[in-house]
Amino acid sequence: VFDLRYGAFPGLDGGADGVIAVATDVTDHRRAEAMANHLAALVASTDDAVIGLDLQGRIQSWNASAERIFGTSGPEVLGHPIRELTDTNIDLSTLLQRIQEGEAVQRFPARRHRSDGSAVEISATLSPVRDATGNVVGASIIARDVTEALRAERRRLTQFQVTKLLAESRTVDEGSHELLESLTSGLGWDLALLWTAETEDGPLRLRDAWPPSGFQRFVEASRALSFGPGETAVGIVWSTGRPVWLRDAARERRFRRADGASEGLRACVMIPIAGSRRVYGVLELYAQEARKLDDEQLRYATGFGTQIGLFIERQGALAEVQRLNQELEQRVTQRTSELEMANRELEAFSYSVSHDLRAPLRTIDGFSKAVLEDYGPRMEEDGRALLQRVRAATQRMAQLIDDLLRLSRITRSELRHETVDLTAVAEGIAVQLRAQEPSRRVEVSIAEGLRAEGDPDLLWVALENLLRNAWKFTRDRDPGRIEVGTAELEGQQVYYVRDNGAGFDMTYRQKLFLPFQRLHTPAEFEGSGIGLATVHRIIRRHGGQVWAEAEVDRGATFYFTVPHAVSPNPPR
Amino acid sequence: MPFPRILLVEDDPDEEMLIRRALNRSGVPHLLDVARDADEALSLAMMPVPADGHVVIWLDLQLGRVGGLEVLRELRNSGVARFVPIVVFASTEDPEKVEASYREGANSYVRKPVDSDAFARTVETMGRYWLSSNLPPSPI
Repeated sequence: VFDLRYGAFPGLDGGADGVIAVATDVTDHRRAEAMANHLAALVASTDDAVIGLDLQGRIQSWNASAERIFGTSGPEVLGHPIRELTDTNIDLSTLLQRIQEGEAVQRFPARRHRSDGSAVEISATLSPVRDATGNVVGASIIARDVTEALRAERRRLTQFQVTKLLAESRTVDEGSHELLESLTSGLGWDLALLWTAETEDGPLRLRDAWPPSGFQRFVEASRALSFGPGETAVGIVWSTGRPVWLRDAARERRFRRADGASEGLRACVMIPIAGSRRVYGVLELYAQEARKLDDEQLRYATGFGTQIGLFIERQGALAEVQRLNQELEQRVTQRTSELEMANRELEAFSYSVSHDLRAPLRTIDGFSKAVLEDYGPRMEEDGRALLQRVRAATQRMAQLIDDLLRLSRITRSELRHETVDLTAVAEGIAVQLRAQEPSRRVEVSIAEGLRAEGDPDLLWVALENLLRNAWKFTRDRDPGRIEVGTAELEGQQVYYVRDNGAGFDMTYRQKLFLPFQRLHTPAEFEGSGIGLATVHRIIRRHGGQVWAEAEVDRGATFYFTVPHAVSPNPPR
Repeated sequence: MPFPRILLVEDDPDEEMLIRRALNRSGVPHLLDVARDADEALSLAMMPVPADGHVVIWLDLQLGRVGGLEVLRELRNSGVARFVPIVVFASTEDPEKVEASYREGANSYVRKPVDSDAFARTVETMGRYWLSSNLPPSPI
């Protein structure tokens, strides 16, 4: 780029002899100018405040954004010290010292209260400004409005704290102090009051306040109050479930707590603590200055109110579940002890009745025998046979009574816990059975190493009953086969006694373990019907189960389990 | 020499009769005193019987108002019957009753069988043992 200048070249005659054209290369100059314009435009259009300072910290230049952020116009501040623009107490001389040494200061925080009362949070970067020779001649400030960013950050933090507090608390009371503290500082208020109502009809009472000291008169006055639904502003928020923002509570007709104004409380927001079913209370936040409605602030505060409300609801439901559970447990315990009592009484009754039954039975048998002895020779054969039947019947009844007594003793006796060698027990029983009927051919196979945890005497009785049963019902087999073994069934160790005897019809298996229930007639197989009931009781007392599989004429298998966790002894 | 005396404490006349009958049929020589309740038992036991005292007391446990175990205790606390052999002859085989009987000083415990053949055999055995085999302490 050239700068061309033209001029007349004066001749001797005073006329123009010619034209002089001087061409100057101005490329650099133009470029610099354009750059300067460009930079000026940048400074003017940026959202950041760009402020020039001299070395004394006086404002030398001021862009439009600075005007907007600081809320004051250029002409008002030019030449004024920069410290007039912030509320933050800044050690300016140290800052300027650092600038003079050529150092920059990054992201310096400051706060400014504008003349209209609103506040702005600022993050500023200070850099030295040098002249062509490199000397520091001033400073530049690039300041950014971070009010929103800070607020968002604080809300996030508050959100985190509130969520954490609620998660760690079992009741609102447990965490309410910290909760109110978080909300007060996080949302930028000076006082928080939490009102709650136990029931839907209230009354609404002050539950907690933050800070613990300060505004004492107002807090105490509030503590003494209670509100019904729709009573004053707080009651309205509670009954409608909609927040209320009071720009200046002192001037509100709906607000009737005069002490607040005397302690300098002005703006107030009242947030419903709302769950999904009802409004549980109201959160009040107060500031010491008047504040106009801030929709965003209101939205956030309402969100926190809902979060607390849902928490209260959930805790209430949880407490209710716990209460019901406790009640249920109590009822079960009571019923159980009633049942146990009834059971014990019944056992005691049957025990003593069984004894009382023996004496007349002995008399019947005794006198039948006496008649046979004294008058038998004079009686006909039929008469003697009838008396023999009387005697046989008394014997059967005596046997029944004895079995009943044994059964009841099994229920009453204390359970011992030992490792029982079932193999040895079964072998011992088999020897006895053989000794009683040496003529019978029965193949008994007993698995090695059968062990169970339980009462040795009772398990012996159980096995004896099962083996005796098997022995009895294989009477018509030659050879009879009895097998004692173990198997694993659905992860459980199951013991079994199997025979190839008469078996039974599975239709009647329900009756198998009931006392006096017999699936065979006395003519087929003798017995009182107590044996399997005894087995059943013993196994049940060990916390195990007993069941059977059989087919008529094809044998039967009796299974039982003896879990390691043995049921406790019955209460005495 | 007079027959040895048994004191039977038994409130049921049928039982008494069956015992008496079994003893008579056994052929064991004996005299039988019967007490129907605790009072009778105590006064009979305390009474200085001419010549000899009772060589053995057979005691039922079910005696109505005052039970056999109390009678047993009273007898053991009395001066006269402190050392007389006492056989509890009862219906029950309840281990607790058996143990309590020995604790109170019984010398033997025999269960009454229901089967009258067995009953007769038991009474006979008891008679033979206590009246002829066993040596009682000298009466005080």
